[in-house]
Amino acid sequence: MKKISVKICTGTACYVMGGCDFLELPSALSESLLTKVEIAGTNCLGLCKEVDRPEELKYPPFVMINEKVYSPSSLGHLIELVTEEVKLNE
Amino acid sequence: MRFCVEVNCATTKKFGQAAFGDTFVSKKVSNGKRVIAVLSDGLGSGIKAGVLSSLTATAALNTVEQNLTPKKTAELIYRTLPECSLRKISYSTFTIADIIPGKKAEIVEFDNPPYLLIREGKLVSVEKSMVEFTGAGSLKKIYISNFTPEYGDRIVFISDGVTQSGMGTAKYPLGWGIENFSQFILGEIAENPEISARDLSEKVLQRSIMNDIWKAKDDITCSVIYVRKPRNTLILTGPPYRQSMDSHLADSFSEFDGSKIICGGTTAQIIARELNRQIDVVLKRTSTNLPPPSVMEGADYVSEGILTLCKVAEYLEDKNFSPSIDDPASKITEILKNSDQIKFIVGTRINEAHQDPNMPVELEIRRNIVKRICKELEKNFLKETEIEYI
Repeated sequence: MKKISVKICTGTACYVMGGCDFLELPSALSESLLTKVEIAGTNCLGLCKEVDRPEELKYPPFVMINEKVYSPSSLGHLIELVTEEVKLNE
Repeated sequence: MRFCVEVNCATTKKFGQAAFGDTFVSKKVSNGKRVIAVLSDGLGSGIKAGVLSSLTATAALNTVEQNLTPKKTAELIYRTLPECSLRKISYSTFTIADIIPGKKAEIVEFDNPPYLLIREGKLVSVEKSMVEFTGAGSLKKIYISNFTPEYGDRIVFISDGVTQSGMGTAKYPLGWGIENFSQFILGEIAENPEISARDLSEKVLQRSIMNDIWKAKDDITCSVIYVRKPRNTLILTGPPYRQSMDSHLADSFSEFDGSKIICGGTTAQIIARELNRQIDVVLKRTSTNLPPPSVMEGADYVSEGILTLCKVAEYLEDKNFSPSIDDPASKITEILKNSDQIKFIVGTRINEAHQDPNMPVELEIRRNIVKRICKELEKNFLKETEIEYI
């Protein structure tokens, strides 16, 4: 099965708006989940500069899960999103 | 041919004292082409020694700059030194180096341990002429030597705290001595022929303190003057105002001869795109909570922009800064301190997201931080800086 790709934006805006906590994702996921995802950091995705984004996806921090943009409110929220995506994939 | 003179001094005070008794001062004059450095060790230790040595060092620095002869300089110093109320004598030592790379160097010594001239990893002995002068009521002797400084030359001078370190211990009953000190310096240079003045002086200091079993028995100072080719560093930060300048940014990066640092994710992405290179973010928390660095072929270091540069400015302004591991700002600060000429290419496009009032921290304007860093590098670290805005 293809692994889920999780890209964490480490740009300045994302980082100060809470993205710094997302760097803990590899250690926060259970081992079974960890085998199903591929986590990588990325330089600024440029999403913070796009003005015409929908309200719920307007503000950093941003994460891309399987090339889809999310704006998780916390590390817990990000874990939920990743878990959901893994379930959908199965 | 361009020369660069790196001057550095590592010093500590006698254990238990509140003030430094040794003073080292240096100055670059004639637009950096002439370097004058003075080390003085005041009688005794603590604040009295500090007053004597700082008077001596600053007076010597100014008289040498005004081209007074060594004898006149020595006499002038001794006329102005205050007398120690306890010992009823006024006394401080000095070593003065007046250097114009490629042309001439004059070293004037008075009562400090002899200086070392190291060329191609070996000690060079230089003929010294003795000149007498009258100071504090008695005849005193200064030694003057002249030579032509060449690429790779190192001039090392120390206070007697170095040669006397370890005195009374089983290993060095009579102190570390000039012989052991010379061998130590030559060993360090053999191990790392490119060792900077900063690292070498620090190594001597640490070794001397260790000889004294971590409690310096006297003020200890080691100054190193290193004549070498300039070390260049380029820092690229911020995307250009016009996208058409992206290729210029990438060309400046690939054509530069020296260390290359990129501060900014977007900047790194532009260079990677233009040069068809890959960037990988090191997904790991940094020790100082700054965004993690990235890795890109051809770049010595790639970091985030504003937050990291702000931290670098803070570190440069902090006199007690000590680098920490896994900290991007420490890494950049160290590279800057080990460079002589630093060029900044600053992209002036503003990231609107950074100006959002909802941001929990205030993000400085890039241009202002770079100016702050340059000011600090020039004033306190005697570096040459240049800023290009694109």
